Amino acid sequence: MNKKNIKIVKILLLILVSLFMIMPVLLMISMSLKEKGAVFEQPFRWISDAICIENYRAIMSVHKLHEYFFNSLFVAMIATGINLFLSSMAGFSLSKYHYKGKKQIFKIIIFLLIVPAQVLVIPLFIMITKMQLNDTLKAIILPYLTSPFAIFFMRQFFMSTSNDPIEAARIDGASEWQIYWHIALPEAKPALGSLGIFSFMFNWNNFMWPLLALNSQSKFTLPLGIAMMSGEYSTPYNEIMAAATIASLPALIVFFILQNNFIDGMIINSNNTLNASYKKERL
Amino acid sequence: MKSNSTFLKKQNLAGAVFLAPALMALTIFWGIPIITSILASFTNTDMITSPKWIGFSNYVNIFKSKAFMNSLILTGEFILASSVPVLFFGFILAITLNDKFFASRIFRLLIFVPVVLSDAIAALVWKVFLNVPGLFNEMLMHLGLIHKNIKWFYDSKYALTGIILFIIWKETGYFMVIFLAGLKNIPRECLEAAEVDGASSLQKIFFVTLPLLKPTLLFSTIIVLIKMLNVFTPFFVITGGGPYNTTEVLPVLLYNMAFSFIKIGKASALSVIMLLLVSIFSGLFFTLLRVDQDE
Repeated sequence: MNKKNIKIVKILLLILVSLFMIMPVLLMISMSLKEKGAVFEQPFRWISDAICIENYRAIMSVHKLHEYFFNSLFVAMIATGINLFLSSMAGFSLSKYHYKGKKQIFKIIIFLLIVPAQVLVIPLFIMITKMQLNDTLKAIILPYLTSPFAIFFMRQFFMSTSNDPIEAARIDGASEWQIYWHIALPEAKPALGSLGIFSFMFNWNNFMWPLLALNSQSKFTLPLGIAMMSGEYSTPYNEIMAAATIASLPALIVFFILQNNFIDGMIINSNNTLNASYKKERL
Repeated sequence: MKSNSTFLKKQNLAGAVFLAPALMALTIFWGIPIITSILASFTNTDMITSPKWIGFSNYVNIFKSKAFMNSLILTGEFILASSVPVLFFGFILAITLNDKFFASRIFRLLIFVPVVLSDAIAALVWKVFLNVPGLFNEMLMHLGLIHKNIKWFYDSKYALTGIILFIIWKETGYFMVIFLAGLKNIPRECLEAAEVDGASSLQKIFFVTLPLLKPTLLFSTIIVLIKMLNVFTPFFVITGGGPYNTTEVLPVLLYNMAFSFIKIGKASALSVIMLLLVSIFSGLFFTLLRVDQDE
Protein backbone atom coordinates (compact mmCIF):
# COMPACT_ATOMS: atom_id res chain seq x y z
CA MET A 1 0.00 0.00 0.00
CA ASN A 2 1.50 3.28 -0.99
CA LYS A 3 1.24 6.43 1.04
CA LYS A 4 -1.69 7.88 -0.86
CA ASN A 5 -3.87 4.80 -0.31
CA ILE A 6 -3.09 4.78 3.37
CA LYS A 7 -4.12 8.40 3.59
CA ILE A 8 -7.43 7.71 1.88
CA VAL A 9 -8.18 4.78 4.17
CA LYS A 10 -7.29 6.95 7.17
CA ILE A 11 -9.70 9.67 6.13
CA LEU A 12 -12.48 7.20 5.36
CA LEU A 13 -12.15 5.58 8.76
CA LEU A 14 -12.11 8.98 10.45
CA ILE A 15 -15.27 9.95 8.61
CA LEU A 16 -16.95 6.74 9.74
CA VAL A 17 -15.91 7.23 13.33
CA SER A 18 -17.00 10.87 13.35
CA LEU A 19 -20.34 9.91 11.86
CA PHE A 20 -20.83 7.33 14.57
CA MET A 21 -20.00 9.92 17.20
CA ILE A 22 -22.55 12.46 16.03
CA MET A 23 -25.22 10.05 14.83
CA PRO A 24 -27.03 9.96 18.18
CA VAL A 25 -27.05 13.76 18.22
CA LEU A 26 -28.57 13.82 14.75
CA LEU A 27 -31.11 11.24 15.90
CA MET A 28 -31.98 13.45 18.83
CA ILE A 29 -32.65 16.41 16.56
CA SER A 30 -34.54 14.31 14.06
CA MET A 31 -36.84 12.88 16.72
CA SER A 32 -37.43 16.29 18.22
CA LEU A 33 -39.12 17.33 15.00
CA LYS A 34 -41.43 14.34 14.72
CA GLU A 35 -45.01 13.94 15.78
CA LYS A 36 -45.70 11.62 18.64
CA GLY A 37 -47.03 8.82 16.50
CA ALA A 38 -44.23 9.08 13.99
CA VAL A 39 -41.44 8.76 16.54
CA PHE A 40 -40.88 5.04 16.04
CA GLU A 41 -42.17 4.74 12.53
CA GLN A 42 -40.87 1.92 10.42
CA PRO A 43 -38.76 2.12 8.35
CA PHE A 44 -36.72 4.81 10.01
CA ARG A 45 -36.69 8.16 8.29
CA TRP A 46 -34.56 11.13 9.25
CA ILE A 47 -37.26 13.65 8.51
CA SER A 48 -40.91 12.67 8.47
CA ASP A 49 -43.49 14.26 6.26
CA ALA A 50 -44.90 16.52 8.92
CA ILE A 51 -42.19 18.54 10.64
CA CYS A 52 -43.45 19.24 14.09
CA ILE A 53 -42.18 22.30 15.91
CA GLU A 54 -44.99 21.91 18.38
CA ASN A 55 -42.71 19.81 20.55
CA TYR A 56 -40.52 22.77 21.30
CA ARG A 57 -43.53 24.81 22.38
CA ALA A 58 -44.86 21.95 24.48
CA ILE A 59 -41.71 21.55 26.52
CA MET A 60 -41.98 25.14 27.62
CA SER A 61 -45.67 25.19 28.44
CA VAL A 62 -46.31 21.68 29.70
CA HIS A 63 -42.97 20.58 31.00
CA LYS A 64 -41.60 23.90 32.17
CA LEU A 65 -38.20 23.36 30.63
CA HIS A 66 -37.28 26.97 31.27
CA GLU A 67 -37.50 26.36 35.01
CA TYR A 68 -35.09 23.45 34.81
CA PHE A 69 -32.83 25.55 32.62
CA PHE A 70 -32.64 28.40 35.09
CA ASN A 71 -32.13 26.05 38.02
CA SER A 72 -29.20 24.47 36.25
CA LEU A 73 -27.78 27.83 35.23
CA PHE A 74 -28.08 29.23 38.74
CA VAL A 75 -26.50 26.22 40.39
CA ALA A 76 -23.71 25.89 37.85
CA MET A 77 -22.78 29.55 37.94
CA ILE A 78 -22.73 29.93 41.71
CA ALA A 79 -20.96 26.64 42.33
CA THR A 80 -18.34 27.44 39.69
CA GLY A 81 -17.81 30.98 40.90
CA ILE A 82 -17.28 30.00 44.50
CA ASN A 83 -15.19 27.01 43.47
CA LEU A 84 -12.81 29.16 41.45
CA PHE A 85 -12.42 31.54 44.37
CA LEU A 86 -11.90 28.97 47.12
CA SER A 87 -9.76 26.61 45.08
CA SER A 88 -7.45 29.28 43.73
CA MET A 89 -6.89 30.63 47.23
CA ALA A 90 -6.21 27.15 48.52
CA GLY A 91 -3.94 26.27 45.61
CA PHE A 92 -2.07 29.53 46.02
CA SER A 93 -1.67 28.89 49.72
CA LEU A 94 -0.46 25.34 49.29
CA SER A 95 2.17 26.31 46.74
CA LYS A 96 3.58 29.62 47.92
CA TYR A 97 3.41 29.47 51.69
CA HIS A 98 4.78 27.28 54.46
CA TYR A 99 2.94 26.37 57.59
CA LYS A 100 2.48 23.46 59.90
CA GLY A 101 0.51 20.61 58.46
CA LYS A 102 0.70 21.85 54.90
CA LYS A 103 2.35 18.69 53.60
CA GLN A 104 -0.07 16.41 55.42
CA ILE A 105 -3.08 18.35 54.21
CA PHE A 106 -1.90 18.16 50.61
CA LYS A 107 -1.29 14.44 50.92
CA ILE A 108 -4.85 14.01 52.15
CA ILE A 109 -6.14 16.05 49.24
CA ILE A 110 -4.29 13.80 46.84
CA PHE A 111 -5.86 10.77 48.48
CA LEU A 112 -9.30 12.35 48.16
CA LEU A 113 -8.82 12.57 44.40
CA ILE A 114 -9.72 8.94 43.98
CA VAL A 115 -12.63 8.68 46.39
CA PRO A 116 -15.76 7.50 44.55
CA ALA A 117 -18.81 9.72 44.84
CA GLN A 118 -20.71 6.70 46.17
CA VAL A 119 -18.92 6.94 49.50
CA LEU A 120 -20.02 10.53 50.00
CA VAL A 121 -23.53 10.36 48.72
CA ILE A 122 -25.29 8.59 51.58
CA PRO A 123 -23.87 10.62 54.48
CA LEU A 124 -24.30 13.80 52.45
CA PHE A 125 -27.94 12.93 52.00
CA ILE A 126 -28.39 12.40 55.72
CA MET A 127 -26.50 15.61 56.44
CA ILE A 128 -28.60 17.64 54.04
CA THR A 129 -31.76 16.20 55.53
CA LYS A 130 -30.66 17.05 59.05
CA MET A 131 -29.85 20.60 57.95
CA GLN A 132 -33.35 20.68 56.45
CA LEU A 133 -31.89 21.64 53.15
CA ASN A 134 -33.25 18.86 51.03
CA ASP A 135 -35.22 19.89 48.02
CA THR A 136 -33.37 23.21 47.84
CA LEU A 137 -30.90 24.38 45.25
CA LYS A 138 -28.51 25.15 48.11
CA ALA A 139 -28.18 21.42 48.66
CA ILE A 140 -26.85 20.97 45.15
CA ILE A 141 -24.39 23.82 45.40
CA LEU A 142 -22.86 23.21 48.82
CA PRO A 143 -21.05 19.92 48.23
CA TYR A 144 -19.34 21.45 45.21
CA LEU A 145 -18.07 24.70 46.68
CA THR A 146 -14.65 23.23 46.19
CA SER A 147 -13.22 19.86 45.34
CA PRO A 148 -9.95 18.01 45.87
CA PHE A 149 -9.42 18.05 42.14
CA ALA A 150 -9.88 21.81 41.86
CA ILE A 151 -7.50 22.52 44.70
CA PHE A 152 -4.95 20.08 43.31
CA PHE A 153 -5.22 21.59 39.86
CA MET A 154 -4.72 25.17 41.08
CA ARG A 155 -1.87 24.17 43.35
CA GLN A 156 -0.06 22.48 40.46
CA PHE A 157 -0.56 25.58 38.39
CA PHE A 158 0.81 27.94 41.02
CA MET A 159 3.79 25.68 41.57
CA SER A 160 4.76 26.40 37.99
CA THR A 161 4.66 30.18 38.38
CA SER A 162 7.62 32.25 39.44
CA ASN A 163 7.89 33.76 42.89
CA ASP A 164 9.62 36.91 41.70
CA PRO A 165 6.57 39.11 41.19
CA ILE A 166 5.39 38.09 44.65
CA GLU A 167 8.70 38.91 46.30
CA ALA A 168 8.85 42.20 44.49
CA ALA A 169 5.36 43.10 45.63
CA ARG A 170 6.26 42.24 49.22
CA ILE A 171 9.24 44.52 49.07
CA ASP A 172 6.94 47.23 47.81
CA GLY A 173 4.83 46.71 50.91
CA ALA A 174 1.85 44.89 49.47
CA SER A 175 -0.33 42.87 51.83
CA GLU A 176 -0.76 39.14 51.21
CA TRP A 177 -4.34 39.67 50.13
CA GLN A 178 -3.22 42.26 47.60
CA ILE A 179 -0.65 39.81 46.32
CA TYR A 180 -3.32 37.17 45.86
CA TRP A 181 -5.80 39.49 44.25
CA HIS A 182 -3.53 41.57 42.02
CA ILE A 183 -0.74 39.16 41.16
CA ALA A 184 -1.71 35.54 41.65
CA LEU A 185 -5.22 35.71 40.22
CA PRO A 186 -4.42 37.58 37.00
CA GLU A 187 -1.53 35.19 36.44
CA ALA A 188 -3.89 32.26 36.88
CA LYS A 189 -6.36 33.31 34.19
CA PRO A 190 -5.74 30.34 31.85
CA ALA A 191 -5.93 27.85 34.69
CA LEU A 192 -9.05 29.52 36.03
CA GLY A 193 -10.53 29.37 32.56
CA SER A 194 -9.97 25.63 32.28
CA LEU A 195 -11.13 24.93 35.79
CA GLY A 196 -14.14 27.15 35.22
CA ILE A 197 -15.18 25.22 32.15
CA PHE A 198 -14.78 21.89 33.91
CA SER A 199 -16.57 22.98 37.02
CA PHE A 200 -19.43 24.49 35.03
CA MET A 201 -19.87 21.41 32.87
CA PHE A 202 -19.71 19.15 35.89
CA ASN A 203 -22.35 21.03 37.77
CA TRP A 204 -24.52 21.46 34.69
CA ASN A 205 -24.43 17.75 33.85
CA ASN A 206 -24.54 16.44 37.40
CA PHE A 207 -27.26 13.83 37.74
CA MET A 208 -26.89 11.50 40.70
CA TRP A 209 -26.74 14.04 43.49
CA PRO A 210 -29.61 16.25 42.29
CA LEU A 211 -31.59 13.03 41.85
CA LEU A 212 -31.17 12.31 45.54
CA ALA A 213 -31.38 15.79 46.93
CA LEU A 214 -34.36 17.18 45.03
CA ASN A 215 -38.02 16.22 45.20
CA SER A 216 -40.15 18.94 43.70
CA GLN A 217 -40.27 19.20 39.97
CA SER A 218 -39.87 22.96 40.11
CA LYS A 219 -36.41 22.59 41.59
CA PHE A 220 -35.11 20.00 39.16
CA THR A 221 -31.99 20.67 37.20
CA LEU A 222 -32.01 20.12 33.47
CA PRO A 223 -30.71 16.53 33.21
CA LEU A 224 -32.92 15.45 36.08
CA GLY A 225 -36.00 17.19 34.74
CA ILE A 226 -35.61 15.71 31.30
CA ALA A 227 -35.00 12.21 32.64
CA MET A 228 -38.19 12.49 34.63
CA MET A 229 -40.27 13.52 31.69
CA SER A 230 -41.99 10.18 31.21
CA GLY A 231 -45.71 10.69 31.24
CA GLU A 232 -48.33 8.75 33.14
CA TYR A 233 -49.43 6.63 30.24
CA SER A 234 -46.76 6.91 27.63
CA THR A 235 -43.39 8.52 27.26
CA PRO A 236 -43.43 11.44 24.81
CA TYR A 237 -40.07 10.73 23.23
CA ASN A 238 -40.51 13.44 20.64
CA GLU A 239 -40.89 16.04 23.37
CA ILE A 240 -38.09 14.52 25.42
CA MET A 241 -35.80 14.77 22.42
CA ALA A 242 -36.81 18.38 21.89
CA ALA A 243 -35.94 19.09 25.49
CA ALA A 244 -32.70 17.19 25.11
CA THR A 245 -31.76 19.24 22.06
CA ILE A 246 -32.37 22.51 23.84
CA ALA A 247 -30.49 21.24 26.89
CA SER A 248 -27.50 20.24 24.81
CA LEU A 249 -27.29 23.49 22.90
CA PRO A 250 -25.43 25.57 25.50
CA ALA A 251 -22.78 22.90 25.97
CA LEU A 252 -22.36 22.38 22.22
CA ILE A 253 -22.25 26.10 21.43
CA VAL A 254 -19.78 26.86 24.19
CA PHE A 255 -17.72 23.91 23.07
CA PHE A 256 -17.63 24.98 19.45
CA ILE A 257 -16.66 28.52 20.33
CA LEU A 258 -14.13 27.65 22.99
CA GLN A 259 -13.00 24.33 21.56
CA ASN A 260 -9.35 25.22 21.69
CA ASN A 261 -9.49 26.39 25.30
CA PHE A 262 -11.55 23.35 26.20
CA ILE A 263 -9.20 20.82 24.74
CA ASP A 264 -6.06 22.71 25.69
CA GLY A 265 -7.44 22.92 29.21
CA MET A 266 -7.80 19.17 29.30
CA ILE A 267 -4.28 18.82 28.00
CA ILE A 268 -2.90 21.10 30.71
CA ASN A 269 -5.00 19.18 33.20
CA SER A 270 -3.69 15.78 32.35
CA ASN A 271 -0.10 16.92 31.94
CA ASN A 272 -0.09 18.56 35.35
CA THR A 273 -1.60 15.59 37.07
CA LEU A 274 0.71 13.27 35.20
CA ASN A 275 3.83 15.20 36.05
CA ALA A 276 2.85 15.45 39.67
CA SER A 277 2.14 11.79 40.01
CA TYR A 278 5.27 10.38 38.51
CA LYS A 279 7.97 12.89 39.20
CA LYS A 280 9.44 12.52 42.64
CA GLU A 281 7.91 15.72 43.86
CA ARG A 282 8.85 17.04 47.22
CA LEU A 283 5.40 17.52 48.56
CA MET B 1 16.54 39.58 62.52
CA LYS B 2 13.53 39.37 64.81
CA SER B 3 11.46 41.57 62.52
CA ASN B 4 12.31 39.25 59.63
CA SER B 5 10.97 36.16 61.30
CA THR B 6 7.81 37.83 62.50
CA PHE B 7 7.38 39.12 58.97
CA LEU B 8 7.70 35.58 57.67
CA LYS B 9 5.33 34.30 60.33
CA LYS B 10 2.73 36.87 59.32
CA GLN B 11 3.07 35.81 55.72
CA ASN B 12 2.59 32.17 56.48
CA LEU B 13 -0.33 32.93 58.74
CA ALA B 14 -1.97 34.70 55.83
CA GLY B 15 -1.19 31.66 53.74
CA ALA B 16 -2.95 29.42 56.21
CA VAL B 17 -5.93 31.78 56.23
CA PHE B 18 -6.11 31.52 52.46
CA LEU B 19 -6.43 27.77 52.79
CA ALA B 20 -9.05 27.92 55.53
CA PRO B 21 -12.32 28.35 53.61
CA ALA B 22 -11.58 25.57 51.12
CA LEU B 23 -10.30 23.36 53.90
CA MET B 24 -13.47 23.93 55.87
CA ALA B 25 -15.66 23.08 52.88
CA LEU B 26 -13.60 19.96 52.22
CA THR B 27 -13.84 18.83 55.83
CA ILE B 28 -17.58 19.31 55.99
CA PHE B 29 -18.53 17.87 52.62
CA TRP B 30 -15.80 15.31 52.07
CA GLY B 31 -14.05 14.53 55.33
CA ILE B 32 -17.06 14.10 57.56
CA PRO B 33 -19.05 12.05 55.02
CA ILE B 34 -16.14 9.65 54.53
CA ILE B 35 -15.67 9.16 58.25
CA THR B 36 -19.42 8.84 58.73
CA SER B 37 -19.59 6.22 56.01
CA ILE B 38 -16.85 4.21 57.61
CA LEU B 39 -18.45 4.43 61.05
CA ALA B 40 -21.94 3.70 59.72
CA SER B 41 -20.68 0.61 57.95
CA PHE B 42 -20.24 -1.01 61.34
CA THR B 43 -23.83 -0.33 62.42
CA ASN B 44 -27.27 -1.35 61.25
CA THR B 45 -28.59 2.16 60.65
CA ASP B 46 -31.78 2.45 58.70
CA MET B 47 -33.00 5.96 59.48
CA ILE B 48 -35.89 4.66 61.60
CA THR B 49 -34.60 2.55 64.45
CA SER B 50 -31.62 3.79 66.42
CA PRO B 51 -28.31 2.41 65.15
CA LYS B 52 -26.66 -0.51 66.86
CA TRP B 53 -23.02 -1.41 66.57
CA ILE B 54 -22.76 -4.72 64.78
CA GLY B 55 -19.08 -4.90 63.95
CA PHE B 56 -18.21 -6.54 60.69
CA SER B 57 -21.64 -8.14 60.17
CA ASN B 58 -22.47 -5.90 57.23
CA TYR B 59 -19.26 -6.81 55.48
CA VAL B 60 -19.75 -10.51 56.09
CA ASN B 61 -23.33 -10.36 54.86
CA ILE B 62 -22.31 -8.49 51.75
CA PHE B 63 -19.60 -10.97 50.81
CA LYS B 64 -22.04 -13.81 51.41
CA SER B 65 -24.82 -12.31 49.32
CA LYS B 66 -25.45 -13.47 45.78
CA ALA B 67 -26.50 -10.01 44.74
CA PHE B 68 -23.08 -8.63 45.66
CA MET B 69 -21.19 -11.38 43.88
CA ASN B 70 -23.37 -10.90 40.82
CA SER B 71 -22.82 -7.17 40.95
CA LEU B 72 -19.08 -7.53 41.48
CA ILE B 73 -18.74 -9.79 38.46
CA LEU B 74 -20.91 -7.54 36.32
CA THR B 75 -18.91 -4.51 37.39
CA GLY B 76 -15.67 -6.28 36.56
CA GLU B 77 -17.01 -7.27 33.14
CA PHE B 78 -18.26 -3.77 32.52
CA ILE B 79 -14.99 -2.12 33.54
CA LEU B 80 -12.88 -4.41 31.37
CA ALA B 81 -15.17 -4.36 28.36
CA SER B 82 -15.35 -0.55 28.45
CA SER B 83 -11.82 0.42 29.43
CA VAL B 84 -9.93 -1.62 26.88
CA PRO B 85 -11.76 -0.34 23.78
CA VAL B 86 -11.80 3.22 25.09
CA LEU B 87 -8.04 3.22 25.60
CA PHE B 88 -7.35 1.31 22.39
CA PHE B 89 -9.51 3.42 20.11
CA GLY B 90 -8.51 6.60 21.92
CA PHE B 91 -4.88 5.77 21.24
CA ILE B 92 -5.43 4.87 17.60
CA LEU B 93 -7.43 8.03 17.00
CA ALA B 94 -4.80 10.13 18.73
CA ILE B 95 -2.03 8.70 16.58
CA THR B 96 -4.10 9.20 13.45
CA LEU B 97 -4.92 12.79 14.30
CA ASN B 98 -1.49 13.66 15.60
CA ASP B 99 0.08 14.71 12.29
CA LYS B 100 -2.14 17.68 11.71
CA PHE B 101 -3.58 17.44 8.26
CA PHE B 102 -6.17 19.78 6.87
CA ALA B 103 -9.29 18.30 8.46
CA SER B 104 -7.76 16.95 11.65
CA ARG B 105 -9.24 19.77 13.73
CA ILE B 106 -12.74 19.02 12.49
CA PHE B 107 -12.43 15.31 13.20
CA ARG B 108 -11.02 16.00 16.64
CA LEU B 109 -13.99 18.24 17.33
CA LEU B 110 -16.63 15.78 16.14
CA ILE B 111 -15.12 12.86 18.00
CA PHE B 112 -15.09 14.90 21.20
CA VAL B 113 -18.76 15.93 20.96
CA PRO B 114 -20.14 12.98 22.99
CA VAL B 115 -17.89 13.98 25.90
CA VAL B 116 -19.49 17.40 26.05
CA LEU B 117 -23.07 16.14 26.31
CA SER B 118 -24.75 15.56 29.62
CA ASP B 119 -24.61 11.94 30.81
CA ALA B 120 -28.31 11.69 31.50
CA ILE B 121 -29.36 13.25 28.22
CA ALA B 122 -26.94 11.20 26.15
CA ALA B 123 -28.18 8.07 27.89
CA LEU B 124 -31.78 8.93 27.03
CA VAL B 125 -30.84 9.42 23.40
CA TRP B 126 -29.12 6.03 23.35
CA LYS B 127 -32.19 4.45 24.88
CA VAL B 128 -33.99 5.58 21.75
CA PHE B 129 -31.03 4.88 19.47
CA LEU B 130 -30.98 1.24 20.57
CA ASN B 131 -34.74 0.90 20.67
CA VAL B 132 -36.54 -1.96 19.04
CA PRO B 133 -37.13 -1.10 16.26
CA GLY B 134 -34.50 1.59 16.08
CA LEU B 135 -31.82 3.27 14.08
CA PHE B 136 -28.95 1.23 15.47
CA ASN B 137 -30.66 -2.08 14.74
CA GLU B 138 -31.44 -0.89 11.23
CA MET B 139 -27.84 0.12 10.67
CA LEU B 140 -26.57 -3.23 11.87
CA MET B 141 -28.98 -5.02 9.56
CA HIS B 142 -27.98 -2.89 6.57
CA LEU B 143 -24.37 -3.80 7.27
CA GLY B 144 -25.36 -7.43 7.41
CA LEU B 145 -24.09 -7.86 10.96
CA ILE B 146 -27.40 -9.12 12.31
CA HIS B 147 -30.52 -10.66 10.79
CA LYS B 148 -33.08 -10.02 13.48
CA ASN B 149 -33.56 -7.00 15.69
CA ILE B 150 -31.66 -7.27 18.93
CA LYS B 151 -33.82 -6.32 21.85
CA TRP B 152 -30.87 -4.53 23.48
CA PHE B 153 -32.05 -2.99 26.72
CA TYR B 154 -35.02 -5.32 27.04
CA ASP B 155 -32.93 -8.45 26.64
CA SER B 156 -30.97 -9.75 29.59
CA LYS B 157 -28.28 -11.02 27.25
CA TYR B 158 -27.62 -7.71 25.56
CA ALA B 159 -28.51 -4.95 28.00
CA LEU B 160 -25.04 -4.70 29.52
CA THR B 161 -23.49 -4.72 26.06
CA GLY B 162 -25.73 -1.84 25.10
CA ILE B 163 -24.50 0.25 27.98
CA ILE B 164 -20.91 -0.74 27.25
CA LEU B 165 -21.36 0.53 23.70
CA PHE B 166 -22.82 3.73 25.09
CA ILE B 167 -19.91 4.38 27.41
CA ILE B 168 -17.34 3.62 24.72
CA TRP B 169 -19.08 6.15 22.49
CA LYS B 170 -19.21 8.68 25.30
CA GLU B 171 -15.66 8.48 26.62
CA THR B 172 -13.35 7.60 23.71
CA GLY B 173 -12.99 11.25 22.69
CA TYR B 174 -11.83 12.18 26.18
CA PHE B 175 -9.00 9.68 26.13
CA MET B 176 -8.14 10.53 22.56
CA VAL B 177 -7.36 14.01 23.83
CA ILE B 178 -5.33 12.73 26.77
CA PHE B 179 -3.25 10.64 24.39
CA LEU B 180 -2.89 13.57 22.00
CA ALA B 181 -1.46 15.53 24.89
CA GLY B 182 0.95 12.73 25.70
CA LEU B 183 1.98 12.37 22.08
CA LYS B 184 2.86 16.06 21.96
CA ASN B 185 5.54 15.39 24.53
CA ILE B 186 7.32 12.90 22.32
CA PRO B 187 10.17 14.70 20.61
CA ARG B 188 10.06 14.60 16.86
CA GLU B 189 13.72 13.72 16.68
CA CYS B 190 13.09 10.31 18.17
CA LEU B 191 10.56 9.45 15.51
CA GLU B 192 12.66 10.94 12.75
CA ALA B 193 15.70 9.03 13.93
CA ALA B 194 13.69 5.83 13.77
CA GLU B 195 12.57 6.67 10.25
CA VAL B 196 16.16 7.24 9.21
CA ASP B 197 16.98 3.82 10.57
CA GLY B 198 14.32 2.39 8.27
CA ALA B 199 11.50 1.76 10.72
CA SER B 200 8.01 1.26 9.32
CA SER B 201 5.03 3.08 10.78
CA LEU B 202 4.05 0.07 12.86
CA GLN B 203 7.58 -0.38 14.16
CA LYS B 204 7.74 3.28 15.05
CA ILE B 205 4.61 2.93 17.14
CA PHE B 206 5.77 -0.15 18.98
CA PHE B 207 9.37 0.76 19.60
CA VAL B 208 9.34 4.53 19.93
CA THR B 209 5.90 5.93 20.66
CA LEU B 210 4.53 3.40 23.12
CA PRO B 211 7.59 3.21 25.38
CA LEU B 212 7.79 7.00 25.53
CA LEU B 213 4.07 7.13 26.22
CA LYS B 214 4.27 4.86 29.26
CA PRO B 215 3.47 7.49 31.90
CA THR B 216 0.45 8.68 29.92
CA LEU B 217 -0.66 5.08 29.42
CA LEU B 218 -0.43 4.24 33.09
CA PHE B 219 -2.13 7.47 34.01
CA SER B 220 -4.96 6.93 31.53
CA THR B 221 -5.45 3.39 32.74
CA ILE B 222 -6.00 4.35 36.32
CA ILE B 223 -8.27 7.21 35.30
CA VAL B 224 -10.41 5.03 33.05
CA LEU B 225 -10.71 2.28 35.65
CA ILE B 226 -11.89 4.72 38.30
CA LYS B 227 -14.25 6.39 35.86
CA MET B 228 -15.84 3.12 34.81
CA LEU B 229 -16.19 1.92 38.37
CA ASN B 230 -18.22 5.02 39.19
CA VAL B 231 -20.58 4.94 36.21
CA PHE B 232 -24.13 5.27 37.52
CA THR B 233 -26.26 7.55 35.37
CA PRO B 234 -26.75 5.47 32.22
CA PHE B 235 -27.52 2.41 34.32
CA PHE B 236 -30.14 4.31 36.25
CA VAL B 237 -31.66 6.18 33.33
CA ILE B 238 -31.75 3.36 30.78
CA THR B 239 -32.17 0.08 32.60
CA GLY B 240 -32.45 0.72 36.32
CA GLY B 241 -30.33 -2.35 36.96
CA GLY B 242 -32.45 -4.71 34.91
CA PRO B 243 -33.54 -6.64 33.07
CA TYR B 244 -33.29 -9.30 35.79
CA ASN B 245 -30.36 -7.57 37.50
CA THR B 246 -28.14 -8.02 34.47
CA THR B 247 -27.02 -4.42 34.62
CA GLU B 248 -26.85 -4.09 38.41
CA VAL B 249 -23.30 -2.86 38.74
CA LEU B 250 -21.94 -1.80 42.13
CA PRO B 251 -23.12 1.83 42.03
CA VAL B 252 -26.65 0.68 41.18
CA LEU B 253 -26.59 -1.97 43.90
CA LEU B 254 -25.48 0.71 46.32
CA TYR B 255 -28.24 3.07 45.26
CA ASN B 256 -30.90 0.40 45.65
CA MET B 257 -29.53 -0.75 48.98
CA ALA B 258 -29.45 2.76 50.38
CA PHE B 259 -32.50 4.38 48.87
CA SER B 260 -34.90 1.57 48.05
CA PHE B 261 -34.21 -0.79 50.91
CA ILE B 262 -32.94 1.91 53.24
CA LYS B 263 -30.22 -0.34 54.61
CA ILE B 264 -27.90 2.53 55.30
CA GLY B 265 -25.42 0.57 57.37
CA LYS B 266 -25.03 -2.13 54.77
CA ALA B 267 -24.86 0.40 51.94
CA SER B 268 -22.14 2.29 53.78
CA ALA B 269 -20.19 -0.93 54.07
CA LEU B 270 -20.57 -1.42 50.33
CA SER B 271 -19.29 2.08 49.67
CA VAL B 272 -16.29 1.44 51.92
CA ILE B 273 -15.58 -1.74 49.97
CA MET B 274 -15.66 0.30 46.76
CA LEU B 275 -13.32 2.83 48.33
CA LEU B 276 -10.90 0.08 49.30
CA LEU B 277 -11.00 -1.37 45.78
CA VAL B 278 -10.19 2.00 44.26
CA SER B 279 -7.45 2.69 46.81
CA ILE B 280 -5.74 -0.60 46.15
CA PHE B 281 -5.79 -0.10 42.41
CA SER B 282 -4.57 3.49 42.64
CA GLY B 283 -1.84 2.54 45.06
CA LEU B 284 -0.67 -0.17 42.68
CA PHE B 285 -0.62 2.16 39.73
CA PHE B 286 1.09 5.04 41.41
CA THR B 287 3.74 2.67 42.62
CA LEU B 288 4.12 1.42 39.06
CA LEU B 289 4.47 5.00 37.87
CA ARG B 290 7.14 5.77 40.45
CA VAL B 291 9.03 2.59 39.63
CA ASP B 292 8.86 3.41 35.94
CA GLN B 293 10.23 6.86 36.60
CA ASP B 294 13.15 5.53 38.59
CA GLU B 295 14.33 3.32 35.77
